[in-house]
Amino acid sequence: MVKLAKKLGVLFVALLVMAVAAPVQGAEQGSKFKVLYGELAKLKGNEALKFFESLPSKGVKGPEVIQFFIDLPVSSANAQIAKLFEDEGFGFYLDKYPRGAAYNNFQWEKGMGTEITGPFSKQPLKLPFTDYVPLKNGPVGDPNKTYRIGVTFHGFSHPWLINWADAAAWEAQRHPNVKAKVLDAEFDNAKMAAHFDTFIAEKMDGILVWPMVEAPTGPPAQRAMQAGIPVVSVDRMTGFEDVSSRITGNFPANGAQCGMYLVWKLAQEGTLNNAKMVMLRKPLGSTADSVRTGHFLKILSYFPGIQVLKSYHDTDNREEAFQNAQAALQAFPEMDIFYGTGDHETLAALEATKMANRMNSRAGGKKIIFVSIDDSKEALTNVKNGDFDVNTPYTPLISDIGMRTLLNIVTKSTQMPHEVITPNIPMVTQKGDEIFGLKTQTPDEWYVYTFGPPMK
Amino acid sequence: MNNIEIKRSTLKAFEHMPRRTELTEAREIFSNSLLLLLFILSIVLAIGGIFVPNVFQIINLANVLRIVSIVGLVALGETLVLLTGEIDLSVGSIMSLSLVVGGLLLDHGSGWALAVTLMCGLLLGLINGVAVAFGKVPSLIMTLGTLSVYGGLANVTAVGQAKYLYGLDLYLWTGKGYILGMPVPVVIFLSMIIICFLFQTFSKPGRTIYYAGANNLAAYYSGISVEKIKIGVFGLAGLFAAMAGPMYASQTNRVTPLQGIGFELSAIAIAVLGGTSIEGARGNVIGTLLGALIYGFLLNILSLSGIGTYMEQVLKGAMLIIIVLVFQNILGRRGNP
Amino acid sequence: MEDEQAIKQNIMMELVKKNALLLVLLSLVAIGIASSSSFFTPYNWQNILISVSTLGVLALGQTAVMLLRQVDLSVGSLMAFAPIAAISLTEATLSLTGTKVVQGGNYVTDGLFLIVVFTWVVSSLVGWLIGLVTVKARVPSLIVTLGMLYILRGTAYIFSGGHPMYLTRLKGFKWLGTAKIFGFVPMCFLLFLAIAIMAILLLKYTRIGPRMYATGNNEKAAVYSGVNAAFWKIGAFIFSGFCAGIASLIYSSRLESVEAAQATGYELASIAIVVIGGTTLEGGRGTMFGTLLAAIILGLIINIISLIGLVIWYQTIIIGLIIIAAVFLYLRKVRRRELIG
Repeated sequence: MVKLAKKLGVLFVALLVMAVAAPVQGAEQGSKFKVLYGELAKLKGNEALKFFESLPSKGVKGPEVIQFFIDLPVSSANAQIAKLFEDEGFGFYLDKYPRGAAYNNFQWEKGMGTEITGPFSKQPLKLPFTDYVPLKNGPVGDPNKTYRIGVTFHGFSHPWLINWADAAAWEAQRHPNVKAKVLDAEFDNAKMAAHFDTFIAEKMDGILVWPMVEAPTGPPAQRAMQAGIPVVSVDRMTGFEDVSSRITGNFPANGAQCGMYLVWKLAQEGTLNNAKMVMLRKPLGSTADSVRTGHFLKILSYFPGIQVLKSYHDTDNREEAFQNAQAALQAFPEMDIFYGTGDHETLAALEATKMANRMNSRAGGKKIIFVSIDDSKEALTNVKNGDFDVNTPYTPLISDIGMRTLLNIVTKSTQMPHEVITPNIPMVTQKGDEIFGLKTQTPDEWYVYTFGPPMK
Repeated sequence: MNNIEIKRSTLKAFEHMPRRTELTEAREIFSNSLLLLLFILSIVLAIGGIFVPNVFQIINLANVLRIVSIVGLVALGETLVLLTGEIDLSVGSIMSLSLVVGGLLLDHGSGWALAVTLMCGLLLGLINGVAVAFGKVPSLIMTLGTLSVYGGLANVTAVGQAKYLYGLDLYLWTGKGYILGMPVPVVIFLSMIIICFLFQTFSKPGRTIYYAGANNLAAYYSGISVEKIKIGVFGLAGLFAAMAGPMYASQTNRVTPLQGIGFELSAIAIAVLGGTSIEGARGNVIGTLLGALIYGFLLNILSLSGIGTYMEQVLKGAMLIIIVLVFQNILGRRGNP
Repeated sequence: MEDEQAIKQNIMMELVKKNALLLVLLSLVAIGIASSSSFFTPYNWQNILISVSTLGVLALGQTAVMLLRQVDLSVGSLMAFAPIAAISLTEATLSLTGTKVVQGGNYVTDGLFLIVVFTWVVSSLVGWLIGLVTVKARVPSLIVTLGMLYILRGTAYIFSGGHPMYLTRLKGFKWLGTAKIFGFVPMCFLLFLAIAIMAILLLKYTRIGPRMYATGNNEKAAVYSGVNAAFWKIGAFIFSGFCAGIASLIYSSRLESVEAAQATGYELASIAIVVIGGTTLEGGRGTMFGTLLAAIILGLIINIISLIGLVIWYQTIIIGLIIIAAVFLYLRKVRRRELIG
């Protein structure tokens, strides 16, 4: 009991320190942008566009650009989008999702990372962030002790998620005195809760989790923390905010860059004042959907010429997205843009559009714009061949960061912050254009890091 | 006298009655229910035409008919099973497993993959049939079990991975191609309906399906064992599910172990909508065709009219209950009290 | 001498058959102890008992329905619909007195008593409705409950807007899911036991039992001998709905949240438990006690699989095979009995 109290005490103090440190870091950047946001607040339409284009001259360039757009406040210039933003409560979700600077000010550069073979999927993968929160090969902590880690997630049957599990398992295998048990909760929250309880019964040393939804995963995570077991969540978050650490994914960067790209592309075409968009979204209320779409809409809210025709939702299922896309094409004979919250959604839209012969059905024979998120090999190939206009990567290969963070906490070798922010990954465009000061990637540059089974 | 002798003498008593020809029976089978279905279908289309005229655009019609054919094919197999008084909950899992097993052979070309898919579906269906017919396992339970087993095997075989269909033209053609201007799934579905209809009305095994469902003496006398009939219909159900699989998978260019999920519920819903009774011996494949059309168009209209996905679900369930309610009560059907 | 041995063998076989479920349960416990050192710990046993409770309660309701040769496919969706509808009703009711039930978008903060009561009421009412349509409108229960499966799920999404709701700030709500009597036995398991025992006693020692079995066995004959089959059928569906409501309270209390997607597929799991417990759709055969044992067996299997770390798909396959094997074995007993009797 005393040991437990001591452990909790240490954790508490560590959290307190980090809680104070993090905002300080964020605040520095925040204040730099604050002035710019103030200037931007009164602008809309073409004026806002010019402001964005002038960012490099105002001292915002490179990866900072992404952060600028992530932290952008929402505007009331586009009444429809502003109302949509408020009705669906995006503000609430955006504030909850952690943002900020990377741990130890890590900067990711092209080419970084390690090539592996996924232990579960047996696919060749390249993990981009193996130098982030680095941990050497070999035994961790006390070499005579075996550290048992419980990993619970959903979806050996899902290409993104199985690669997530791959990265976590690979990291555990690098250390001979670490034993990881990976359990699949099969998209049932009660099963995940049972896994947590099993881990508690087995007195695991640490738990790594990919929680599909927040609310039902809160109590189990809390129980585990109360039992003295450190819990680290990766990508999505549990409902319990005080877990040991949370590795965040690129949700904000996804949405923000999609917004950046769309505005840039429409400006290039000259159609910024009259564009109609259909949104194919993931389950309503899911973090992925809310955070990505929220950041996306924030940028569009400065442009009154963009109209949202309709939002469709599916249960993360390409077949459903396909039917939604077909319905959209039928319902709206005139539309310019398909936005998908995930690669499934946009891939389904592409298929439906091709089958309906509507690829070039816009005014003047222009191609429909496809904005996609999630860098599956399929999606990136479509960017390369020009069918997709942009893809913002969301790599599952961040669970190794989570595993390293957890191991640091479990072995008490390094203090880890409460939030470990994954570096923003620049979006991928066919030619690697520079957008508002950000140099985007070409498909070839990022392809090696993509997830999912090979195309052939 | 033992039981067989009693029955023989009873039959002799009826020998003087006029023989029921196939046509007489066909006419009976074509009872009020088909007219009612046609009526419902026209109402659905009329409502659609008024509120969402896009329904009748060629592309939309092609899309709807395509999906109607795919689900309808599975429902056709389910209808045959239901007619014998059994039920098959595993058709969805059969689709998934056969797709995945066929998917293992994609590297050897579409032909092999498709052939293996079909054989797999047939085999899985036959397993159901043998257990129900000879093992006397109630079909609800057996197919509940195989739903789990086949579904699990599909995941295991696929190792959770999707396989892509890019470049496999024949395979993709089954779902996206056209024959004489009509989508391939529609052609296949219609052909199967016609074949099954002829089979049911004019062939002895076909009619025995009904007798088997009614537990009728006539089944015994037709000389075809009820067991073989049941094995046959389960095999067909599996075969049709496996046929529909590639057509469905090619819409999204990939084969996954989860694609069949939910088809069993839709298949049963359509079969029942088409007038097939859960208790067996009532219903026919034309009814299933009409039921599939009603189901497909209703969902399409709901989708086009912008009612949310969730409202669609509610209406789908309500439609099912209401239509069966109408069948049971207005048409004077008497099931079990 | 040989006769004596043969007789002893027969007696052994009879004992095994009669107590098959108990033997399976005990063997599973042995397997569990052998496979993991964490198996026989208090915390793990609490987990097993808690996970048994939700599906177990559901299965009790399903048993009543299946004894009468009906089936209830709606219970999974009902487990999502009932609490969500209850929260909406509570919101509407309490807003009359000016109390806000749902705050901050998704946090339920007040109205505990009403929510619990409304959940039971709503779920039992839905069960009653299903029973009515099955009996009075003569729609086969497979169809009614299949339709309700869609209707309830869709309505749950519409009412909740698709957002999960947090019940972490609702004082007292998590008691059912987490409380332990005497610091050891989980409350929800005691609730499950209580309902099971009540059902067992009612069926065995009151008129309810014989009437239900008669209805399930041969409805026409039962009606002719004065049994009000319609009443019992509707009653069974009400009980099934009631159980779904309780199961949803246990579930939501344990996870301190409610979402429209919860309990998907639980109806099939409940049928699986009922079948393993000995109730087949031949009707008129099967016991609540069998269901009780089967629920514990399933809970043990799932727990052992987690402890071993077996990939989850094998669990689906294993459960499917068990269902088929169970029915096969039960019906061999039945057929043999018929041959003799």
